[in-house]
Parts: sequence; structure tokens; C-alpha cells
Amino acid sequence: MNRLDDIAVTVEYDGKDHVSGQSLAVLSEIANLLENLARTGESSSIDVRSLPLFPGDYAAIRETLGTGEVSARINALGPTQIQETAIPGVWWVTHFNDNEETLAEFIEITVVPEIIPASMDDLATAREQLQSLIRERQQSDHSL
Amino acid sequence: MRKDETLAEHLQRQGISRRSFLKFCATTASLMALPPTMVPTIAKALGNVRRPSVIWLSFQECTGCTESLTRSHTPTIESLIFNAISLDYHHTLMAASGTAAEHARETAMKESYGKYLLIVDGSIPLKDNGLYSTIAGRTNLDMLQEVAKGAAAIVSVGTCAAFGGIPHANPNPTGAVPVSEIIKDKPIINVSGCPPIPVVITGVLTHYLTFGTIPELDSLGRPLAFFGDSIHDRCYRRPFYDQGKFAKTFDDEGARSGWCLYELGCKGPTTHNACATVKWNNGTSFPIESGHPCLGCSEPDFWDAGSFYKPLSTSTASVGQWAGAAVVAGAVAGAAYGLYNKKKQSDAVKSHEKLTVKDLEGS
Amino acid sequence: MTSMELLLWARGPGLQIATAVLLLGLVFRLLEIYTPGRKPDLSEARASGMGPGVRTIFSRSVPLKGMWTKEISGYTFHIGFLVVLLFFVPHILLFKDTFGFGWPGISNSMIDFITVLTLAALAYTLFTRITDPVRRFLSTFGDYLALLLTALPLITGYMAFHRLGLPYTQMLAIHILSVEALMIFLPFTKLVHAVTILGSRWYNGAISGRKGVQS
Repeated sequence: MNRLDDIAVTVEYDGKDHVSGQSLAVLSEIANLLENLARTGESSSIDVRSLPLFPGDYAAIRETLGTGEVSARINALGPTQIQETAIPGVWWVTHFNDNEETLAEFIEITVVPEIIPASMDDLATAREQLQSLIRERQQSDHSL
Repeated sequence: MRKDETLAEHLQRQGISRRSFLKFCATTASLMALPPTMVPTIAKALGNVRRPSVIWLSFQECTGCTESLTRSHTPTIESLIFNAISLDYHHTLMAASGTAAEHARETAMKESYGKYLLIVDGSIPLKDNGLYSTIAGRTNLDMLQEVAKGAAAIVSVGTCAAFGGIPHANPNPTGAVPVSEIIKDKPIINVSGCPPIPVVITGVLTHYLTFGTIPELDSLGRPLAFFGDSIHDRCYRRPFYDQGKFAKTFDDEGARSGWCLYELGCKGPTTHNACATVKWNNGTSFPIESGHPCLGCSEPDFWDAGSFYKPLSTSTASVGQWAGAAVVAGAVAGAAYGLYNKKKQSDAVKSHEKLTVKDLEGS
Repeated sequence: MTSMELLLWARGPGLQIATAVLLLGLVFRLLEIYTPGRKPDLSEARASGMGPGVRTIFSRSVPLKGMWTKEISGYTFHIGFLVVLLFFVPHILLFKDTFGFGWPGISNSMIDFITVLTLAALAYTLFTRITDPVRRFLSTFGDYLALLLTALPLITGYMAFHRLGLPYTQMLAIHILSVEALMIFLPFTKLVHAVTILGSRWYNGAISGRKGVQS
């Protein structure tokens, strides 16, 4: 399937070097939210789409936050990429659809992003789910 | 599909995980420009909403709005919203046709009277008793008036339903009018655009389902969350506009460097829509980013607003003819008046009239 | 009427009407003024009137010695007004579309600054007209009307550009309508000096030159 990226286009100016004071403002905001998290345990999240950023700002923020130890990929109606930054408690959460197009992007300041842990609703039926699989195994072992 | 189950139960039955649902809520909150703190509220509300009945009426339209909404090969995150509603009638998408389809509509109307959501795309022709567009032998006007009676709210999808659109353009041979000109006693949300951005349609539905209310609207009845800013206000090419760097043709150096398209006819300054931020095809691009000036398709009368390729500061009508006629008329009148003045003067001299201050004062 | 309908009327029929009235009015006034003519001057001319006539058109633009400071607001206003009208890119595009040719413009920030200066000069003019007792005594309704008609396009244009006051589409419509008002009233108020100044200065220079005196 032909993709947009395959069309040969010469990019003359993509603005990637354009950095404004916005990147520093966002990083300061993250620092404040981290302090709040440490003090009260309250999680927060910044919608990257809502920020008026030049292309260079986005790269500057990503570069400053760096890369951490945890990297997770969730498959739920398209992939979601979760990357811990070098700053503990700051996570980069990017939601893609099946065509690898970005749907939404968040900087989450939290112990662990909400989408990772198993939900209580699922846990309620989890034991039953496993038990039925165990029963199936037992029956097929018996028949050997 | 069971009508009285909640969305959460419905998704669970369909095997759509809790994480997918959370992802959907986060994405939609972002699209509706709501802060991330609203995500749990949206998740809770949508999770518990009982799927309301929705009736979609297509009138004098090109089906572009339905296409915009359904154009995807795989189920997308946006289409999840359609699990939250029970689309009981859409004569293009539904499986049934003919009398069976009309019967489905009548049943839905009766069962959810006063509570169903009515979505309309396409304008309504009024000329010659509205016979220019009929469904099952009934005029659009007739069907709209009947179905609107039991609707809780109406969403006019697309510029045709919101403002009249293409059929309404000069000379409007069918007498096309928007929904708001016919229905006056129901809340109407105008989601304009030719077509509207798909996520704007689903965003409005999500708002209605989450909060049970109409979102805040602008003076033309469009949701402020998506139509509050003009394209010009959020355009990434603004720095070029401010510096006076304009593309003069479609293929010159300026165009290739991504300069402002004002001189090529961009209607961005007078157009309100979410194209510059939300963009099209899941955030891929929008007309200006692809090098084409904005047409202003979410505004009323955009088809009659002069050429798409002449700048906003130019006139929409030809001034030349009027100018020519005016010069001729002025010349005739001026010469005649001047000669009259001359005659008055010579008459005054002949009759030895005295000169007064008033004569010297002039006009 | 929605803002868009108002804007489209201003850009369409409004402009047609205003242009027609402006041209009809100007041609009418010019012919009205110049058709009666003068009786031939039978006295012997000291010198030709043509040279001094043409010269006076330009020399009257230079203030007399000692008058420079008094003329600053007038010059600022006139030059500023013309610069904003002729060198703001969207205006140039309008002329290009109407007359078939355009010319380079200057940057938006420069135009912005000049607009503020021009409005300041106009405000000062109004201020002195009201506070100076002689000027106030001499001022008529036409004087104040001319000031208003000239100031409105500048004010509304500035507001539209900066998205102040009303929503943009409406503000732009009002700006265009204010220009059309200026066009309609120009031939019938003292603003007609924009065109008649040539003839008036020439005439004053010519009759003085003929008599052999300074003009």
C-alpha cells in the first residue's frame, strides 16, 4: 500500500529548529506537577496537542526529559506507546490508531499511567477466566 | 443490540477491552479540547450511558458527510462512539430498504418519543411544495417536520443542513433552506463544513452523551469547542503572513517554501473551523498545509463569496461597468450643470445684478 | 443579516454603488467647477502663467519658513494615510484585481506603526480644532464630518487587523463599509480637495505668474 511517506518531496523548511520560550514554560509546569505528586500523591496529565508549540519546542521538551527504564506497548484498537522519561514519575503516553497515525499525546505525571494496570472490573472475572482454562487443560490431560 | 444496556456492558460483550475504552475517552477529551482531568468523568458518563436512539435523515445532500464519517477500512477509535448510540435509521448505511426501512424509523420514533436524537444532512428544498427531494414519496419538508416533533435535539451535519450549502447557492433553483429555517422549537447544533471533520461530528455526539446537554454554541449555532477559532488564528503559516511572505502562484518559490496563501485566495481569516488544529485524516494535514488556500466551507454562502482564488480584500462583483457608466453620467450632469451656471452668470451680468458675499462663499 | 452576508454585500453591491457615486460625483464636480470658465483677461501679461502654475502645484507642498512645526500633524496624517492605503498588501491586492497591476508593499508591522501615527495626527487635529477658539469659530459641520469619514477607515482597519472589538468577519465588513462611506461623501465635501487641489494650485500660480508676482 502506498504511504504518504513514500512520495518524494523535498522539504525546504520544516521549522524543526524553531524553539520558543514555550518549551521552558512546559518543563517548569511539569516540575510543579511533580512536586504536587510527591507531596499529595495526586496524578496529573498534560495534553500535548493543547500546547501551542513550534516543532523545535516539541523536540526540545522530549530531549530534556530524556529516556527512562520502562517502555510499554499496549495493543488496544491500535498501539499505544508508553515511555518513561529519565525523570521519575514523568511518562510520555502516545496513542496511535491502526494506521500508525497519532490520535493523542499526553505527558503524564504519575506513579504509573492509568492505562497500564489491570482494572478492578476485569479482575472480578479474571479468576473465573483462568479457572475455566484450567478445567479445559485437566480434561484434555485426562483424555491422553 | 440490546438498547437498555450501558455502553460499558455493550463494549464488554463485544470484546472491546477496558483499556480501549479508556484510550477512546482520553483521545476524545483531547479532541474536544477538554483538560485531561475530565477523562475519568467522560469514562464514567459514557460507561453508564444508556444507548439513545438516533435517527439520521439524509435530504438534499451529496452523501459526503456520511462518507466523511465512515471512511475507514478498519474500526477506528472514533467509530466507538457509534457503539454508544443506537443508529435506528440511516437510509444509506442501514441493511433494510424500502418500506422495511421506513417501518424501522417509525418504530424507533414511537419507542423513544421525545428522547431520540435527530441528525440531518443535506438541505431541504421548498420550491413547488418541496417536490425536488422526496423519500418514500414524502417530501423532505414533510418528513423533517414530523420527525423533529419527537426529537430531543437536532444536529445539522454539514454546511447544507446548517446553512443551505451547495443547493442554496445562486440561483438556488430548488428553494433550498437549512434545517434551522424550518424547525424553530428544538435545540439545533450546526456542525458545518463541506464535509465537517469526522471527529468534530463524533465529538459533538460524545459531548451530548457524556453531559446530556448541548455544547456551548456560537452565534451561528456551531459548537464553540471546534468553531471558536478561525483558521487564520491557528494557522501554522501565520509567521509568514505577519512577515508579508506570500505565495503568488501555486508553484513558485514562495509556495514551495510554505508561505502564506492569502494572495491565492485563502479565506482562513473569515472561516471558523478546527482544520488548523485537529486537521484531517486523523491529523495528517489540512488544505493549507497541502498548499491549497482555505475555501471557507464551514461558513454560510461560501459558494457565493466570490472566487476561491481571489484574495479576501478584493471585490466579489465587477466594478468596471458601474465605473464606466458613472463617469459618463457624471460628465453629462456636470457639463449640463456647469453650462446652467454659466447662463445664470451671464443673465445676472445682463440684468446688472449686484455681487453679494453669498455668491463668493461657494459650496 | 449575518456577518458573512454583510461582508459579501460590502465587497459586492456596496463597492459597486460607492465606486459609481464616487466617480459620478467627481466628474460632476470637476465639470461643474471648470465648465463656466473665465472671461478672457484682456490686460497685457507680464509673464507666462504656465511655468509658475505648474511650479506652484509642488511649491505649495513645502511650508513657508517658520511654519514647519505647525504643519507636522497635517503632513503626518496625509503621508501616513496614503502609505497605509497604498502599501498594505491586502489593499494592493484589491487595486491589482481592479486595475490589473500591483506594486510591492511594506511589512505589516510597519503599516501598523504608521496607522497609529496617522490616527494620533488626526486626533491632534481634532484637538486643536476644538480647543483653539478661532478654529472652533470657523469650523462647520462639514469639517467634523470630513474628520470622521477619514478616521473611521483607519480605526476600523486597525481593529479588524488586531481582532479587537467585534468578531473579525463583522469588523472587516464595517471597515469596508466605512471606506465606502468615505468614497460616497468625498465628492460632496471638502474632501474633494484630493482631486481639485491640482487645479486650484495651478490657477493661483498662473494668475500670479501672469501678473509677475510671487505665488
